[in-house]
Amino acid sequence: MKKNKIILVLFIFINCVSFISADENKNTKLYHKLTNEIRCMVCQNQNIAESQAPLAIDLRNKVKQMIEEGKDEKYIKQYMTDRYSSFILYEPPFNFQNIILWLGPFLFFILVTYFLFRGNFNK
Amino acid sequence: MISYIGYFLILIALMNISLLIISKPLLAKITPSYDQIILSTSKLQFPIILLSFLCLVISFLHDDFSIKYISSNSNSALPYYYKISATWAGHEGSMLLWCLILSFWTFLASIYSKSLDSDFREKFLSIMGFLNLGFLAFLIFTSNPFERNISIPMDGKDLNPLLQDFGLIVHPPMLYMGYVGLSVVFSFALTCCIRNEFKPEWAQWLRPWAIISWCFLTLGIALGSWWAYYELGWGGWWFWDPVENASFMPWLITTALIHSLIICEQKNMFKNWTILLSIIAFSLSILGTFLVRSGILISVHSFANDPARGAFILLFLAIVVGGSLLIYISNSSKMDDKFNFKLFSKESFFLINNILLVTATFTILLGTIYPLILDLLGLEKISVGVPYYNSVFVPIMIPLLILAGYIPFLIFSKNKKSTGILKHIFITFLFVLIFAFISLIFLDNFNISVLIGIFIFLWIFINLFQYVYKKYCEGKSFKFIISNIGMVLAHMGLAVFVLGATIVENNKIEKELVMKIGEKIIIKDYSFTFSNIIKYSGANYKGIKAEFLVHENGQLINKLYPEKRLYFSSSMPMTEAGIGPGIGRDLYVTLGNIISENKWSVRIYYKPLIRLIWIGALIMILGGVLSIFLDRRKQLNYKEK
Repeated sequence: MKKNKIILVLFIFINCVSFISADENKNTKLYHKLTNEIRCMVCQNQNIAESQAPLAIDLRNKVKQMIEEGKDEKYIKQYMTDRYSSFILYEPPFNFQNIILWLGPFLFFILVTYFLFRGNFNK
Repeated sequence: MISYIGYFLILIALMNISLLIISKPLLAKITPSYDQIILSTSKLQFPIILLSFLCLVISFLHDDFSIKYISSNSNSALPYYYKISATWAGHEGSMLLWCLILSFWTFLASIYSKSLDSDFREKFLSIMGFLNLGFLAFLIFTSNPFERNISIPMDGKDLNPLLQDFGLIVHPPMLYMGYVGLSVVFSFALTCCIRNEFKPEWAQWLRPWAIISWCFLTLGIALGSWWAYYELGWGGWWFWDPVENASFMPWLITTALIHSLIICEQKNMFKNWTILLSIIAFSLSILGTFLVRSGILISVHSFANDPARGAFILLFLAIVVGGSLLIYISNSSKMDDKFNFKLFSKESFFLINNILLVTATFTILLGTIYPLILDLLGLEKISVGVPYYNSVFVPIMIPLLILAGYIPFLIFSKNKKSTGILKHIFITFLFVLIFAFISLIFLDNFNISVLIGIFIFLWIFINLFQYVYKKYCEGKSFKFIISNIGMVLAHMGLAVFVLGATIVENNKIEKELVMKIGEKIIIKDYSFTFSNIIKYSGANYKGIKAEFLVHENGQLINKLYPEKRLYFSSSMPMTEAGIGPGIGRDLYVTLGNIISENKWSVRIYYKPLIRLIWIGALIMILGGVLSIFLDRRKQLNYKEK
């Protein structure tokens, strides 16, 4: 019983936290998030928030404009990949080609755990 | 003239080290004092390369533009301290620095290996010699720093303006000390593998070397991050750039190694695993060099590219990694290595620590080379960056950090029943959680990641304090507590780092705006007034400085001077940030482009607790250094008894 109560309290706490942080200045947050996740195509390895290259400035303005028009994150990302390929996003898409990239670490974890712990307790 | 001597000296060094390698089959039969030859050649290597390095430094100071490397990395107008640091600013010079540091570690290894038996020492130093030979051959045949120009230019092209900075003077040598220090660990582990044994006292001998390399790596990475923060002008401290990753991977593996060596030493277990970790750690250092030097990466660091170099390093990497792994695979089954422990024990938790660290390393490796592999296969190009690591790397680190808080406490409470421990964990957990919630009141922007960050910070800190307090209550001597202070500090440093990193990433404020001279803007409790623009000229550049007056509660607290510089040698303008540092927050202003007369685009950042990132790293280093020092004393006491 005691444990259940504690879990309930925790649950409420966490919900409050996520609720409060949700509403604040959505557009600015989205702008920062997107400009940090879009790569400047002409720079060595920088996102458009950091880069001062003309292309980065153009893309920043484009992102700003689209957010003001009320477009959502998914739409803007799709817009960018349609024009520049998925190389422009720092988050690689989860598709067949990238399946090892996304699931590799978890498979690796399971394999290493298995090999290191295999039969070590019953001796 | 001096440059000829320098070149001659590295050729001598090459011959010297070749002698060490070939002497085994040739000389061992002829002379009985064969091991003396190995010893003296490995000691001699360091002074020879040091002299050669000094020759290059002197040539830089004399503006000897007949040398190709100097004419493309220096300029007569460059201040003398940058002329010295330019020695390792380009590819050729930094490889010479690499060889110098490698010979230095070889020198130290030959001095401090007296306690090992002579057969072991011979093999160990021969492997070190082989590594020396490989890198020297690479230096001489593909990247000779003393190569001459066909026609001597009037003046040199300048040193890359980004690199004209204090950060560059210290960052590469420290990082290389760490990278190359791992060669000692590698050679030692490989020798153990060849000998099919790994005695506890060998683990004890090896641990300080692993820790000192780890300290240098930590320092090198922290300096690099600090340099990027104030020099690149975007206020970030880590970008998951492939080259940053290349230095972070050996760091993670070395961290795992330091922990597994404890079990090796105390319980005589995990021998094969420890050897494997040592091999991987150094292999990742060479892999990092390959990635950076071959030019197959798109990165801010890839300043010197040449396919021939890439091919050579790839070949060397294949020999070192492939060879050592072959030896490992064929010999590991012969090692007397018993794994025998309970699920709820020190060994088991150290193993989980190791698994998590190795998985984290694998994630970074995958993120770094996956785009390259796709590129080679001709598939769609992708970028792997912050979002990927946030969703894959961070979840691996959270359980690791929680373990970091509990492990030191658990280890020494082995006599207690497990139910008592569970109860204790639960109470501490609740206590820390409540505190974490209370501390959220002081932040104006919080979410679940801030909560986790603060929780981990408090969790590690409180558990470490409890640990020290408990030891004190148990009547352990003051000496005992002191001897563990290194471990306590290293973990506290980690906690401080985590706190800084989480808070700055979640609570920073970044404004990008256009300001007129005289305009004022308020961010948090600070008002920034753009008061003036000043033109001036430096030794080898022309600059524009903006003056920002920062007021807090009506009082002037800071004057910040963000700059734009145009170096004579480059067409790209460089930005210098104006930073008002503080433990609680940094105020960070950079100057962008001019929009119209008196109107400039500027960026103003408010970065809470960002200093904790580097302070945390310094505490970790202090912990590492102390634990080497105190371990040594413990060893000496041990011997006296």
